[in-house]
Amino acid sequence: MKTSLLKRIWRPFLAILIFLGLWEVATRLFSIEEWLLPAPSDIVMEARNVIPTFSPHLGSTVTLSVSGFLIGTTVGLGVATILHLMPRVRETFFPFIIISQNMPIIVLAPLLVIWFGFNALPKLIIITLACFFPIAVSALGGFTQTNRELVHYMKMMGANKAQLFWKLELPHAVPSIFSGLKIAGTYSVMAAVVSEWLGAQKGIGVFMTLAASSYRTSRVFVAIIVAMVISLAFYGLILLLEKFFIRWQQKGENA
Amino acid sequence: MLELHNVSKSFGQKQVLQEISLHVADGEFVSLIGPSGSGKSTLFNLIGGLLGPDAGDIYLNGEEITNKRGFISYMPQQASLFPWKTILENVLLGQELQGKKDYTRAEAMLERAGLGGVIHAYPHELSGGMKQRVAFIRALLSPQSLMLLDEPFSALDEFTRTDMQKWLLSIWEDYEQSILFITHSIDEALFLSDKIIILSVNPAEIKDVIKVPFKRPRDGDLLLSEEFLQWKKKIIDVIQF
Repeated sequence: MKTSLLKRIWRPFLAILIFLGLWEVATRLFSIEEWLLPAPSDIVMEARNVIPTFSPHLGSTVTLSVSGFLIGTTVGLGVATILHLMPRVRETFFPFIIISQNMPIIVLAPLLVIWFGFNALPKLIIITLACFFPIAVSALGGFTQTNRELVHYMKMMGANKAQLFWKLELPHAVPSIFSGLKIAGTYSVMAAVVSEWLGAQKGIGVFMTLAASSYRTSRVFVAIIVAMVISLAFYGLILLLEKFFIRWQQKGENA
Repeated sequence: MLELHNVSKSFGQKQVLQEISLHVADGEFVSLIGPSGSGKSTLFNLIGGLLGPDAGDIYLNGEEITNKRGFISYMPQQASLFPWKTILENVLLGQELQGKKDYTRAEAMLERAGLGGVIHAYPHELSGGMKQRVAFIRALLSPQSLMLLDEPFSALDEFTRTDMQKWLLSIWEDYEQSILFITHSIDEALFLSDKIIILSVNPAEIKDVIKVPFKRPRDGDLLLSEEFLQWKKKIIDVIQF
């Protein structure tokens, strides 16, 4: 197991090393200014200086994205359930969900700031909206794609609507819901950072705008890397949960 | 036990079932045979309460169950096991829907049915024949007294099918629940049932009801006996006439 993991990752790992090496050499060779493109070594140095004072920013962004993600997930699953159980409501509102899914949520930000000010609320709304759509759409897709034979079996056995939903449709939609959760997880970090650009006391977004406006480019890179790490950690966590929840599933097959 | 009185059903202009009356006694194994499209599945949906008949009534143990669901146990053509449940949880599904789950009885029955080794496995780990066995045990464990079996072996290969028929008889003869069984194999109907109901097509009407005289327990030799072939010929004559 360990050796096979090593075997799989050494190539991409080597590629990254070569890339970083070329970057380092290029910045020195062409003597590129640090404010324009800092060398990887500069970024590492900067990170060492900054990371000790970084935790409030990190904490703020993580809290924001996790709360937004949880609210978005709850609302998304709730709305998907309501739309699924009430076909009339679904027929009325589903087109709007599809249209609004294709709208860049971030453009709503200035409007939300006008309405709700610079506190956490408009940021939470943005993250919630960003997470809501992928989850609602994937859950709804999962509910409606429930295996027809299983539905027929349940009906023949006299299952009522509640039993049909809780015992069949919901568990059947779990893999589909998880693909929505994975998208929403990444969106939530992005939405949190971008919403912090609009104005906040602390957060990775704030740290980034401050660094960028004073041309401390290596700091911007540090912030980018931290945001990436959070995003990946989030994704990994959801992946672990998914493994736990659908351990019954055979690899590569769906029934 | 189960009684259908003059049940008719049409979809739009097309009449599917015309005045079907039939009777399944306690502990009786009754087969319905007829060509594809003869409305056998519609008949099951009516008995199961998924559809309402245009005319006629359905009674179970003296109680009218027309348009009512939850009174019968069902085994579909595809095993239809829940992929996220273990075999044990799957066979308990019928009980789960009606109320209490009896784990001890389920384990004992799986053991008895030769499925003891896969109690905690998931359905995808089982072969097609094994899945059908699980689906049959699930139907047998459900609390309802009548089982509807809808061509349960039609998706299996010939060898597995004969094995499954013998297996089914060996289990069923211990429990003697009433079974209404849809098939389009004459051999299967003759080998398994006490009574065979032959349907015609467009619309489906009952052509004939044949009492199968073979004694139980039955074994595989019966399939090749002279008597068996004569009965088979008799049924073919009825269908072709």
